[in-house]
Amino acid sequence: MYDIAIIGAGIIGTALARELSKYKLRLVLIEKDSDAANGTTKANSAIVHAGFDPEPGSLKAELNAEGSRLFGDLCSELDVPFDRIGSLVIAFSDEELKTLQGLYERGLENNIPDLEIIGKERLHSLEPGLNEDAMGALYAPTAGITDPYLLAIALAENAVQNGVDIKFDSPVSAIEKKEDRFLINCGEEQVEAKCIVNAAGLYADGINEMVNPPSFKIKPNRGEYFLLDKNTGRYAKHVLFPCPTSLGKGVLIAPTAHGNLIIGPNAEAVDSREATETTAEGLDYVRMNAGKLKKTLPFNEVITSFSGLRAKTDHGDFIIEEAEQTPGFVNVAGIDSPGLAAAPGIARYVTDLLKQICGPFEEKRNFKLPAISHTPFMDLDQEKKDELIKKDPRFGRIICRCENITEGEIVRAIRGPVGARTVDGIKKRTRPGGGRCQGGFCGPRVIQIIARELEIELNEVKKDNPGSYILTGPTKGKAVDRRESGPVGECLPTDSGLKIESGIKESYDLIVVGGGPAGMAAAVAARQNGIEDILIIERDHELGGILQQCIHNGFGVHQFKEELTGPEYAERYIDQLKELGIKCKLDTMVLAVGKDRSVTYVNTSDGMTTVQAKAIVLGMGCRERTRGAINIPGTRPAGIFSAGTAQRLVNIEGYMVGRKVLVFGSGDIGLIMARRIVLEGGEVVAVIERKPYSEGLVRNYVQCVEDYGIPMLLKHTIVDIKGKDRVESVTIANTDLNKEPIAGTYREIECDTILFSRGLIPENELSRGAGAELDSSTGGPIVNEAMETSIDGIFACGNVVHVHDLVDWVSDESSRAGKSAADYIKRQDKQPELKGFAFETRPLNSISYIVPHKVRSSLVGDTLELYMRVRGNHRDAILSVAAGGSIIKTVKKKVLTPGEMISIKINKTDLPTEPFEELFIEVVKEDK
Amino acid sequence: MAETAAKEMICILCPLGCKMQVSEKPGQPEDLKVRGIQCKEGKKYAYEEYKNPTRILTSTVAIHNAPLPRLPVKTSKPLPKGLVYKAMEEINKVELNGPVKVGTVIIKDLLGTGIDVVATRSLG
Repeated sequence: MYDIAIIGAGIIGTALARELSKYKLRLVLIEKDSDAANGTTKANSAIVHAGFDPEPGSLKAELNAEGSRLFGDLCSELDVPFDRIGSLVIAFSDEELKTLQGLYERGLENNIPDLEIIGKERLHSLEPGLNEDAMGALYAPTAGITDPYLLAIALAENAVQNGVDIKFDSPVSAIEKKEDRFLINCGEEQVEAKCIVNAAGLYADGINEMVNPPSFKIKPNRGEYFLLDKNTGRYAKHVLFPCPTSLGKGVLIAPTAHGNLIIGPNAEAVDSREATETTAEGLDYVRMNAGKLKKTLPFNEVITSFSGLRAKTDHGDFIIEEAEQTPGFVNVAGIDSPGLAAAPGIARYVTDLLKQICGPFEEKRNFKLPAISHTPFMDLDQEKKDELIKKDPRFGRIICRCENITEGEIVRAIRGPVGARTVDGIKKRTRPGGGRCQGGFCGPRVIQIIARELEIELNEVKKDNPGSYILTGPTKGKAVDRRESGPVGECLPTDSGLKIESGIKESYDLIVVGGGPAGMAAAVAARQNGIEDILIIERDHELGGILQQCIHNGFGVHQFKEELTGPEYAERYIDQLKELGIKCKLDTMVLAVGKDRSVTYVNTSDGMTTVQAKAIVLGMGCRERTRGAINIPGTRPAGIFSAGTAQRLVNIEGYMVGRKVLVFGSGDIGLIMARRIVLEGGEVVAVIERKPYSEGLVRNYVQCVEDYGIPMLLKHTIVDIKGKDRVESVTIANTDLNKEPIAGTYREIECDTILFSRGLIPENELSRGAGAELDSSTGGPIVNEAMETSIDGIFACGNVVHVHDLVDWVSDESSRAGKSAADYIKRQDKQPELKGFAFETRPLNSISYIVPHKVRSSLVGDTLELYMRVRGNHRDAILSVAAGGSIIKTVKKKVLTPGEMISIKINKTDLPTEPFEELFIEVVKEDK
Repeated sequence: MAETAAKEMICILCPLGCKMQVSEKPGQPEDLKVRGIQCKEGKKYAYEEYKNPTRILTSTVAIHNAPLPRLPVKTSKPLPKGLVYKAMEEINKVELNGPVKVGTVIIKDLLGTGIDVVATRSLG
């Protein structure tokens, strides 16, 4: 029998379990879900409020103040991030200035330290970028930001280290009060305990009513949020609040503990305790209200949106008391804001209450403080990094390339005292999939690592709760044991014959970042142009990049004059690399590229190292636009993939992603995956496209969609996604001319899987880090005719510059980049004085971009090749090229579509010889 | 004799994606009437796609003792479109052991068509 059973492993239950574990008590923590921190703790503002807001004299006031005082020590003991960045409540009118005064006085009554009312000037200097009309603020320097779910997990871990039992997947179904004990039916078993603490959050009223007459009612109140990409955190220096109203604290803007920006929440009473879907209205409200504080917020950097439910009651204050009729039963309910900030205070308060009820408690002498590190590998100092990689090389293998999270951290999260068993569990502990690609790249590898560590099949790995399966089973009904075919992440011996560079060499002539089609072609061209000392650095464990998963045909028609599949095309280049003896480092992640042409990389054998190159070619490729980036509201169950991720899972890992699949977006990858799903025995219920035409190649429409009788719904969009654990249905609607949904056309389609095929984004984090100028229309670096970026000696090519339609053009462009890099290296010591003049290319009228952006006239060969794309469809169009005041070339095109890249070759002799500054290209004539 | 009902087809040869109506001429089943397209290549495509539509089929097969659990494959020549599902059944039966070289014949004379299924990458 336990002394105390705590129901609910949110921040309150875990903080209390940990506090009680300091005493000689038999304790059990019972949780209905598969992991700790799975309810309100998982989705909130992550703010540790200073404590000026609650009604003086209330529990909220007392415990917020105490919690805030305790927070710093607690987080440092548990190695959880906490930063007292301070908060500002901002007033925009005289009326609001009065409100500030009221809050300030309350704060004094609540004993909140260091509060200050600040005027306009101080406010704008403390927090630059606020809207001009911000008049003043209440400044609370003790407010902070933290990682609430990591904190709850760290508390649970420490509790377990000190003897607490945790039962997951154990919803409490009945509680019976016997003479001296409670019998608790949870999951499949019965637990006995002398006392119960009800910390069941949204479900606390139901738990209470299992033994007590109703005394409070939980009224779930939803708040929706946007989360923006890392490095947008700098858009707010403090936690920024508007003036509170009767509705609550309002929409805040704050950096997160991990450098993202969080914006939200709204407040909406909802009926269901599981209504954690986002809505178009809620998110619109958040966007609009955030604009009142700061007009210029980078909403184009949104990586996901989410919602959480507050466990509100009518009482207003926290309910922390022993039930009147049931001695030994303690409710800790109605913990809405400032619940997170108050949690450490609540844990102490409840412990004192329990001492009165069933005390005295004897303190343990050997209470253990955790030895578990939660600091991300990348935040450690160099010495510590080296030490970790030496001890466990898996810390040198990056799995999540957006957040640079290593395999070592993921394994640590699984093997910890409260080990992660699910994809979300790992995300909560170490954040892979929490970055801009939202698990698009690392998802399949995280699934593999979980399967390997827990010794289960890939299709047994869950996103979260038991119903949230990710894969439906092996293709062809044939599971091949992964252990039989080689451990995750090790270099594939496929590339036998490839010259693998081992060990650290301090400098190279040329370093190529990325071993996909762009990097390979650039390296080959550089070698053919006389550069011997070349290193390709590839993050995957084989070369070829995305081509390896593109098993369909259609590649190479221009490059090799025959139709190849993706892997065949890749192998042609891999063979050339072998022949030319070009060196590679596989399974190696480049973390930074410097202006000085330094390259910092990490892998399992070299650790984290910085090497020098005379020239660099960037060929990182692109990533897929995610559901989060395009703001599709609804729930966030398993079964949502980007098309390319599904392609990897089906074609390389050999696992099906679903049975009844809906494809959103008619890009080529989506169409090709629709066919793959059907050929592997699945059903594709529809391909949905917002535009009036299919975006992919005509051939892919005919051979992937029409051939298989798949309905293609043009002028349609998704307005809602339903399903708690796994996708159950989507709601679609017709779209108007602006591609917005039309009211009254909504209908639901049943499916268990959604593939997003909504476009590609060049991956330029390294380019940006190096300081290369980027073009907002391509998303790639600005380059000149030599494919050189704005940084001397750093070149770029392929999809990292602009998304190509055919790999053949990637190879072409990359060969030019490779040759240019070779020329650069050869003449490095004796830079020639540039003759002639330079001009820029300017897209006009329906042309969306032109690459290259800049041209140096003297370096143009016989022809200048310009690549571009158009906006909209055009028939019988004329492309007109103008420079130096006259039209120098016109090209007739029967049809121009946005999906197709256009190239125009201009003879050098056609370029004006007199200097000019700009070359314009436009679509001049069309007969509709 | 009346024309047969026209079959709606989309030309895949260029981004125009011309919508074509293809029907057999009365009394001359060998000759086709193609509406909705101007160019010669398009008419040739219409003829082939109407008479004998074919597709390169690409898929994967299960492979043991290799660094990856699936080997990508394709048909060595375009396969009659009607045989695609039957071909998939054959491909799904295959289980082989690595290593394999690109171009290796995985299934010889698929369904008696004279077409092979070949590996599209080297593995193991």
